[in-house]
Amino acid sequence: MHNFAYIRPTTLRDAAAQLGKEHGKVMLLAGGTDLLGEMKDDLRVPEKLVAIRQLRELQGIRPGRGGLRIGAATLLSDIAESAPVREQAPLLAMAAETVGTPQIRNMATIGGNLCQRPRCWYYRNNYPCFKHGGSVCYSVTGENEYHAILEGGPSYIVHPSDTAPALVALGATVRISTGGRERGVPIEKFFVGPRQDPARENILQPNEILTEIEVPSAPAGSKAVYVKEMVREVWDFALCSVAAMVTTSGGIVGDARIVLGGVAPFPYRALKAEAVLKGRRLDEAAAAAAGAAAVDGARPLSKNAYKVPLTQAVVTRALLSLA
Amino acid sequence: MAQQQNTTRTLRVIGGDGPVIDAVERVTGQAKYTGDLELPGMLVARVLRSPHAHARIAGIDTSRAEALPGVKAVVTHKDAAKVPIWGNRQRALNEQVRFAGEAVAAIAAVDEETAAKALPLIDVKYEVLPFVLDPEKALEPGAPQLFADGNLEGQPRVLIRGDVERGLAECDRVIERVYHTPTMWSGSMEPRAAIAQWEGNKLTVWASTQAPCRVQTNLTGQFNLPDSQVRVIASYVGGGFGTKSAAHVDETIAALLSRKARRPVKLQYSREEEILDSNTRFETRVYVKVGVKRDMTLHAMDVKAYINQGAYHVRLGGLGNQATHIYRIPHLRTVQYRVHTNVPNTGPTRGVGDPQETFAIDSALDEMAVEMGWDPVEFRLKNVKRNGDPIARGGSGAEDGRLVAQVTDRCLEEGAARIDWSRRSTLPGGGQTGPRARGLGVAVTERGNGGGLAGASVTVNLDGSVVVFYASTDIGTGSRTTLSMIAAETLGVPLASVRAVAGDTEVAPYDGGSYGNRTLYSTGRAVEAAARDCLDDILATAAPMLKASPAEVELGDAVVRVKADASRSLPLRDVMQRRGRSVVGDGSVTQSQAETNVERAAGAHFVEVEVDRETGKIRILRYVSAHDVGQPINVTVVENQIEGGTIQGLALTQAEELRFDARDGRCLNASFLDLKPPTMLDFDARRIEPIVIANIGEQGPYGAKGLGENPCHAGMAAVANAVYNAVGIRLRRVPFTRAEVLRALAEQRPASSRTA
Repeated sequence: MHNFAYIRPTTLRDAAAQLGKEHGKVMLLAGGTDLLGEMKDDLRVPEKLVAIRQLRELQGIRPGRGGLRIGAATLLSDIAESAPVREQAPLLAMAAETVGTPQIRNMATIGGNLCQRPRCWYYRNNYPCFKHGGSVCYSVTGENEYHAILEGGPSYIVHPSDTAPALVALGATVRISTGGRERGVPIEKFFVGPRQDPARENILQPNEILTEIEVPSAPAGSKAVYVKEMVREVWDFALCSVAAMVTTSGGIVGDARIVLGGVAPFPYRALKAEAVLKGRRLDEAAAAAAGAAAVDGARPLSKNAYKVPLTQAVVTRALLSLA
Repeated sequence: MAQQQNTTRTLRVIGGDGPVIDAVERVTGQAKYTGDLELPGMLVARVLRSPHAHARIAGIDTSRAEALPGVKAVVTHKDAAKVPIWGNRQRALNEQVRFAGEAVAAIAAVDEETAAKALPLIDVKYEVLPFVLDPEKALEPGAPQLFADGNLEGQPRVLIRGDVERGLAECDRVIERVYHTPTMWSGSMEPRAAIAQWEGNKLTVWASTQAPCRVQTNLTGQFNLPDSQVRVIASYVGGGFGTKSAAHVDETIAALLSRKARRPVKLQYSREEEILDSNTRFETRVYVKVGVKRDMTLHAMDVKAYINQGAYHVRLGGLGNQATHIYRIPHLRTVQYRVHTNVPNTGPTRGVGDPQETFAIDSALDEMAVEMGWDPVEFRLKNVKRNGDPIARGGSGAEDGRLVAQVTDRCLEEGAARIDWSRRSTLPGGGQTGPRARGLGVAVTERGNGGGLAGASVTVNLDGSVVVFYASTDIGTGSRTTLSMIAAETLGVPLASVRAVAGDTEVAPYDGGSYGNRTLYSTGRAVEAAARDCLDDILATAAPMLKASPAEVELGDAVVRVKADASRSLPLRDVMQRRGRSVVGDGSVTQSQAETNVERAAGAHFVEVEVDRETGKIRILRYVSAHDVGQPINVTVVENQIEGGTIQGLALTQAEELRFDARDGRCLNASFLDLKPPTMLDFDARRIEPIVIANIGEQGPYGAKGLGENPCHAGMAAVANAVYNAVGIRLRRVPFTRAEVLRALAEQRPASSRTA
């Protein structure tokens, strides 16, 4: 690891004041479970790290307008165990619980989980790909077993976060601050696809800090589930995952939110699958139809076609578990 | 080989159970592994590695690195002796690099930061060469050549008995299949580490190795020193599995740096280095032609195997046991091509080629049983070799020996009974509806035991306490415990009074090392002989004190007594104090295949799996591992070995394949996250049921047999066979990833076969 300056500010304003105008020179350090690994592998060589995990403004799970406000530096283990989260947004607790290992969840923050970099092995082995500012995605004609089947191109990374699909399904809003100015962004707009910017996965500017996530309470009559398929039972990123939330009234689906992880460069909202369910009774046929619709438009690469039936099965089963 | 002396007395220590004697040191962090050691003034080494799969080093300039303050030495191929490492083609540092990750240069600096900073200051000019990764393509005309004498290592290894062409023609049914295992991780938790220290012309190396004497021999060659000037110490070792069973480049690089810097140097491999440069498990592609007669007899087998040795091989890895030794097959041929390619160096890894070969042979036999509508267990029982059957002693395949103490049939029968084999459906799936289906599978395996030159010495101190010195190691197999138990049993003292000092070439006689089922089997014999040597001395000393002849006295529970009159006795401690001199026993033994009687150790694995047709997930519901262990020395150690080896074999079904980019030959997944070795939750040890088949052998200490390798052999075949039984797909390539399983399910159609 190369040397760097380490700053530990006490206020959000002081932290923001340290930030520059260029990506990668000054970087924010929260749990460090991703960034420190990247620095050890020379993927990132920041000149300065600004610690934000201790910032008061980034802490805690509090009641908010029609839901919860979760500080970006809140630990994943705290979220998974939080009574208010389990009560008002159980989908998020379920997703947080599947991340990494207990040791990782005790260090990693929700903000960091949303902002983590892709696990693509070409990126992680420092190939000069889109994510390193290059103009090639090495997976296309290479080893792409774990890559995107939906919305890929020109980069085919998959978004690695477990909490992101859950928060998209819950309709969360992220709050972003420059220290002085603050803005709220619907989380779906927070993530960017490779056609918009192949080098990055979200809209954060170099001078911005993700401070808080506003999570609306799950609607009355809703049920939700997070299902994650991995190579290993634990300590793994998703081959595919689904965050599903279905609201029914009188046995009929009023609203459905189905968001996929591990199959697209961003948390992928399966709108066609959602549409299939609306106005229908959630039964085996409806779940199967939604499962098929979820992978409609999938364009697998040479070695990841298996993800199509896998995702279809996972979505179908997730929905059936809510019936 | 001398037969073991028959002891008629009851065993007091051997056959017991209980944790290994160094368990507390190991789990509390008291045990010091090589990387834990600190010497005064010690420098830290880092290795510069090739980014190219194949290149010639056209120029190398180290001046900028050497000029960096804190850098004390830089070595390149110019500093290394033109002497191969352990009979290998590889030198410590080579002018031509043959895999991405091969060492090009090394730096010793005052700290890790400085060493890391200096690495990129070494200016290397590479002349990049074309590379080849596939063992069959490497043999094609025009393939990139790794060595001046070509990519094929030596001659193809051929084992023949009978006339395979005629045999196949005589069969009622012949099938032909190909099975593939890729280059896979070899699994040591402790990455390689070496510390070198020169005192004048005396070199001491602490190393994470299975074979201190082999490392010593290599270093004497590298530095042109007598054995007496090189000491190698491997006290605690965190796994080896064969990858540390001979000298490797790291010990020599540390010694080169230390000599140049005139200070001790520690070279600790990172996890990535451990994966890329540690003699990993070799790829195999095995073509099997098997033929049977209608009466269920195996009649002919023709096996052609391509073994991807990678850039270098630390010891020649081969197959041959499974096809040759398990079954009575009158007409047999195995041909093995050991091929060099530009994947990392390989070596023996738990089972060497046996897990790969078991996967091929016992999958093919299962396919044949399905073709013929035979029960797979019955088919095997009909054909496995039994006691007294002829068996090959050497490498030719000619059956010039006689199989003794063999219990393959009992392993099969007891395993089948335990898993309740009779409930197995003969039709794949057996009418199970729904996405998940269960199935049963079986595979049989076997292996020989140890061999070669083994040595140990035993000292009985003036207070009657005992120390066992041996220069092989305890790599987690419990040899400190089992060898101490052998000494305790032989001498007639409690285990608590015995301590074992492992892995130090300066205090123990030469011993080949800990690999190939040999520490207990071979070093154990040496310990037994050394302890017996001590016992003779003690009885000779004590007899006159008890006014008896040595033949009339015995030692038991640390008391010497007259056999005919137990009231005439002396505690061992008193005997030793009156003697006033320690007792030292020597026990060097050589085991070879000169004996006509051949004893090997069999195992049979049974598994029940559940396959999810929609997600491709294979779950292990139950796993029964029945193994012939000879006389168990410590039952807990035996069961741990069976469970651990079984899980390591199962791990190969799930992941652990090294993935290479075809365009540049680099490994993409050299990390625990991406290789995905299993966690405790993947293969739950509680679902693994060891069956210890007690069966007293003829040639090991107290009739024990080696067990380290065997439990790792059969997992791939047993699981593949069970998956077929569950859902009717035949997996012929490991690991059984979601991609493989879901593709096979998508392509599922009625099984087809070629008939001769």
